[in-house]
This record gives sequence, C-alpha cells and structure tokens, in this order.
Amino acid sequence: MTAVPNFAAILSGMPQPYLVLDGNLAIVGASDSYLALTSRTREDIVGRHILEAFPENPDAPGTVEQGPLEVSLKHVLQTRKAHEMAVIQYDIPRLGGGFSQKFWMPIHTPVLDDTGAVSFIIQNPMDVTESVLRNREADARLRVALHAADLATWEYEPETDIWRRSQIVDQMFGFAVGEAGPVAAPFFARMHPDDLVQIRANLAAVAGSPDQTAFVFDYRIVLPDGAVRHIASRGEILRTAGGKVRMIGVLMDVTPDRVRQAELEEALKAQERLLAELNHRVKNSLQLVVSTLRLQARRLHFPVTAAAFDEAISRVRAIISVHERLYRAGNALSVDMATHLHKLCLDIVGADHEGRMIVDAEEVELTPERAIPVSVIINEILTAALSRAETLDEYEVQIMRRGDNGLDLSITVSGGKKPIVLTDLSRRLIGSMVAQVGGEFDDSQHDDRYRAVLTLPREA
Amino acid sequence: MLLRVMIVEDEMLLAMDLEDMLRDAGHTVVGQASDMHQAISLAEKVQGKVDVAIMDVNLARGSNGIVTAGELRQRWNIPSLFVSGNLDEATREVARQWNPIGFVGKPYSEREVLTWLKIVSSQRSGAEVKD
Repeated sequence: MTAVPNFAAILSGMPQPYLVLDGNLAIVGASDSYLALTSRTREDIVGRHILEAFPENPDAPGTVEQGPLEVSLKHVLQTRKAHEMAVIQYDIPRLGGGFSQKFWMPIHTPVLDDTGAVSFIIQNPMDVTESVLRNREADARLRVALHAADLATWEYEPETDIWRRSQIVDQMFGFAVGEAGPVAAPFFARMHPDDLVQIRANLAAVAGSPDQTAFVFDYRIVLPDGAVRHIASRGEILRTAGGKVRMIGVLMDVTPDRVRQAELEEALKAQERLLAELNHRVKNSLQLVVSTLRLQARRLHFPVTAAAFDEAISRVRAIISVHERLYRAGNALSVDMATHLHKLCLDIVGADHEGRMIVDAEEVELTPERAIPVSVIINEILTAALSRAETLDEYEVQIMRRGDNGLDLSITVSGGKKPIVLTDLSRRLIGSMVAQVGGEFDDSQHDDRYRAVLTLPREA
Repeated sequence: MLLRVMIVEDEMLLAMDLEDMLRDAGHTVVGQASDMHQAISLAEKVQGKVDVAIMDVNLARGSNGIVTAGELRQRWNIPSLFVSGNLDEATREVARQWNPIGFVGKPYSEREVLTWLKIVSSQRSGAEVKD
C-alpha cells in the first residue's frame, strides 16, 4: 500500500517560488523558495489576506501596486482562467524595516474543484527586478524625454481593464492621487460622451491588429467642474507572451494648442465676415454713386448735357462693374474676366443691341489693377461706336491668352456706314490706361470695319 | 405686359433710381418699403396685387430680404427679384426656396433689372393668352 503523499512538504520543497491562495485571497501556503525571495516566514503570512501580508509602503505611494494585483486575482476568480500580468512594481517589507524595491511579472493560475469552482489560486511571481534595474539608464533617459515633452505614459489591458499610468494622467483627468483606482473605468467615465463612442470603437478595432500596430486617439476630458481638456494619445499594441492584448502609449494635454487654434479660426472667421461686410458696403456705395448720377441724368433736358452725363455714368459703371466680379483667389483679389466682360459689354450696348454683341472670352483671371483699365478701354470704344446711331453694327470683343502668358484683347465693330471717331478725351483715357498696364494699343478703320487691339504683357 | 412692382430697398437713393427706371420702362411702382414690416403692410394695402417685388437682402432695422420674400410668396404668391450686393452662393441657396425670379448683383445695370422684368412680362402674357 502506497502512503498518501505529503503535499504540504512537496509544495514547501518546490524549487520555484509559489504562493497558494484560497478563494478569499487568503494565503494557505508557499514554497520555501517564495519565502526566501520575499524574506518572509510561513508563520508571518499564512492565514492572512495577500494584500495585508504584503502591505503598501505608506512613505512611497505607487511603489506597491496592490490595485492591479487585486484586479488580476479577482479576474482569475471570475473567469476561472490563468492571468499573466504585465510588469508591476511591488516593493517588499525588509526584515529590519523599510522596503526592498522589487519588480514582478506575476502569473495567477486557478485550481478548480470538481464543480469547476476556483478553490485555489497559485501565484508564480517571476521576479524581474534585475532586468528592470538593468534598464534603469534607458528608463531614466525615457523619463527625461517624456518629461521634456510633457508626455504621460500608460499601459492598458482590455481583458482586465487594468490601466497603469504615470501620476500626471490622474491629474489630467482631475483625480487626486489614489482616487481613481487601478482600472480604466473611472477614466472612461470622464471622457466626452461624443468621443467615448469613437474611442471604444477604436479600441475594439486595434485589439485585433498585429503587435506594434500604432494608433492615435484624440479625445476630450470633461472635468467635474465642466471644464474641457483636449488629449492627444498615441500608442502601440504589445501582446503578452500568452498572446493577451496590451496597449502601451503616451498622452499629452493639447488643450492650450486647441484653444489657440479655435481662437485663430474664430479670428479668421471674424476677418472674413468683416471683409464680406466691407465688400458689400463698397458695392453698395458704388451703386449709390451710379444711382445718384442716373437720378440727375434723367432730369436733364439739354441733349448735350444729358449725353455728357450718360458718358460719365458709363465710365463710372465700367470701373465699378469690376467689383461685382471680384473674388478672393488665395491672398489676392481676382476678376473672372469671361463673366465680367460678358456683362460689361451687354450693359454698355444695352438691350436694343444685345443680339449683335458677341463676347468671346477665354477663362482668364486678372487683378483689379489690370481689369479696370481693360474695362475702361472697352467702354470708350463701344460707347464711341454707339454714338454713331448705326443700326447695322455688329460688335465683337475677344480676349485670349498668348503663348507667353500675355493677353490679347480685340474689339471689332463692323457693318455700320460711319467710321468710329474717338474724342480727344477718349484717346487720352485709352492712352493712359494702356500705359498703366504696360501694354500696346493699335486701332484702324478699313471700310466698314473698325478694329482695336490691346496687347497686355504677362502679369509680373 | 406691364407689371406692378414693389421696391423693397432701404437705401432711399437706390429706391428712387429703381423707381425712375421702372416708370421709364412703363411699369407701375406700387410703393417702396425699407423693411419687412413695411413690405407686408404695403402688400396688404394693395391686397397682394403685385407682380414682382424687387428685393434687397439686408433691409432696415435688421430685417431680412429672404424672410420677407418668403412671406410675400406664401401669403400672396408674390415672386421676388433679388437685387443685392450680398449674393454669395449660400445666400442664393437659402433664397431659392421661395422660387425667386432671379438674382442681380450690385452694382446693377438698368439692362439686367429690366431684362428680368421682361421675362416675367412675357411669361405673364403667355399665361393670360392660355387663360
């Protein structure tokens, strides 16, 4: 007959560090190796709750991460499956007082009874202190860099909701030290509801991605007092050895940037509104000028005075009509010449001659400095043609781009019997407008055909 | 067909110019209004017998030409011809719900305004013949 093995002795003699807990997380046993690793005696810890046997260090908050440990153990009780933790710091009390700095990667494995319930949890703590401390220099560099960039770090495990992060994260979310606990739920609760939906969707989406997949989450935090903070978060997927999804990243408070950006956008909008209002006012005032002149012109009875007024009105109209087609092209103002010339020419010849006016204009944009002289020149020639009271005139105005990016404008009047004679004032106006645009002008009359050509150099 | 026109324009000089222009072309100006309230009162006074309202967009005392055009269209089926220096695409889009006759930018020309009215005239004459 074989004797019943002494399982307590077997556990004690295990060559690896093991701690055994019951379903209430009270310690029921430990291997000698575990006791040696944690400098404890069996009497010291057996029968006590694990968090009581391995207490917090009141002098150094954050050096004993009880929160994540407890979440992991409860997760095992709930899921009845093993849980492999990420690195946590869990300093251990020294015999002579004080704490020894320790880093662990605990694995919690459930022991199920016949009914499938968890009767014990075995902890294999895996001491990684040496490797963590070996990387101290790199960590210090990273810390300095993070600090300089005002970045906070975090690690998130969706399976347990464990959310390890630097203290500054709690501050950003408006929590006092220790207030928020080890899981992310209280943090999600402070995210802006409109952003939270997107964050949840993004988390689900990236969880299925391969390791080292980078992601970006931008969201707003709504603080208890209603203030809003803008956060930019960047992270990467990093699975555990067991394939569990973990995310690791940094986040940054970008509120001042966003506020500045919003202020700039508002200032820009205000400027645009002001510009639109100014443009509207200018057009209105120009319209008043023409309307006032027309009001007076209609009340003149001497044909010579009335004709002079009409000429003046036509000139003013040619100049101001440019304003109606003025639009903003980037940082400059531009005139869409095809639409502008079409309307200008029809307005000058009037409804009676509309059918005999051809405007052939390429899609050309000119600055107002060039569009106004061109308009004045067209007005002078067409009004001179109209003053002959010819009923058979055909009018054609053409503007096209040359190969060197200059422009050619031609005005042709044909079919009438009388030649076109420009007044002295018209000649002088045309001359000065041509000089203003640095162009060349030539006109000629052959039989019943008058033709004027303006050559504009390319815009400097 | 000559038309009965109301002018909704708060710049009195422009309103006078438009009135001259319309009278010279043979149309009847039923009156001028500077804001929405006056426009509605005028339409009530003439029992809605208006063929066209020439409508500015920004009217006196903060009232709005598009809203006014909507009232005139809904209550008396009076169509508007918008004549304004403030006709960007967004404004036109909102105004289109009241099925306006057209849009004329400022500075306007006599030809443009009268051409639109001619179109209305010929449509009306056509409709009368059909009736």
